[in-house]
Amino acid sequence: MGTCKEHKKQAFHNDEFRKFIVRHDRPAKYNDWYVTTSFYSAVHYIEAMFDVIEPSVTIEGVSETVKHSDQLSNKLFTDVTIKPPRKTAHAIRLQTLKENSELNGKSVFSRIYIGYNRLYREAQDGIYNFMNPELYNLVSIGSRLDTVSKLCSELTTFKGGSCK
Amino acid sequence: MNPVPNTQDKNIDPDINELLEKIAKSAANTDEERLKYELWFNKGHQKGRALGYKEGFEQGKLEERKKALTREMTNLKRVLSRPAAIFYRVLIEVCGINESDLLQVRLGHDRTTGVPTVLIIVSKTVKNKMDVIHDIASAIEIYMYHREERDCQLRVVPEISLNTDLINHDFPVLGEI
Repeated sequence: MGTCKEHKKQAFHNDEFRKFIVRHDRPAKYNDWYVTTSFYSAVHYIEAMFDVIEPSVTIEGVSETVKHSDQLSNKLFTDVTIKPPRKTAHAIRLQTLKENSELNGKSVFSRIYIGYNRLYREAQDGIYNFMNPELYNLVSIGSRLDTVSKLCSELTTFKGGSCK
Repeated sequence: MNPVPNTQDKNIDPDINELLEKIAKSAANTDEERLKYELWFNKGHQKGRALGYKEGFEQGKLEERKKALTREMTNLKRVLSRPAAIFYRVLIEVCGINESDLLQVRLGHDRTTGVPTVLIIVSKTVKNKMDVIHDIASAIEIYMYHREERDCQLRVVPEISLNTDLINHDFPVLGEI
């Protein structure tokens, strides 16, 4: 499992590739990859934050600590009392963000959830659903990633700054 | 005078022969049962074929899958009917989308997370409202999770953005099938 620092490093790495696409993709042909790299950058920002914050999530009535989404996914997979389908790391990440969000939509977790969820959907449409690449709103997608990255960094710093 | 038993004789249970006989007898019974079962099974197969089934076992599996699918869809409708209705009304009343632009409402499971998902397919005229729609959908998901303990996803796609994979039918159901 990656540490906060390792996740951040990977997030920056993916983000660099996103910027590389922006610079070199003329005329725009690989917008789907722009979205995909944005999404995977967001995944690592969130996992870095989880590593420090260790939020909780309720799985079948039991509260679980999330340090790494895939670690919890593997733990649940070996628990025979958990009903299928398997809780994937993606499912756990989304549920954790949702559970720690507040109803007014203004809390930090809510804003991360809204931004990340957008990237998740757009990436899925690009990867699996053959979304027409011309239809992506790249400005909006870039701003969602910025929001996720900024808020995750804020949360991590507030917690004591173990990952800067 | 009886011969002195050797070490091996001493270790043999005096009832061993009786025990072996019992085992042999029960084994014969098992064979008989098995034979009866095979006859009954073959008879069943013949009956199945007479009814038009090409292969009883495969047909049985197919029937089970159909039942499981129906059960899963019924469960999905139960879980998703309220979020779908709320989302539909919000798209019209809050986002200002004409009802005629909401082309289809489909149900299924998100392929990556397995979470029950409502998918609304909208006409291409709604394309410029997608940012607002995505945000509102996420806000409703948070609401449903906290207020009604329903973990669901609400998605919207414009008709022009996809091929026909998700259109005109509910999308794949995962789970215990």
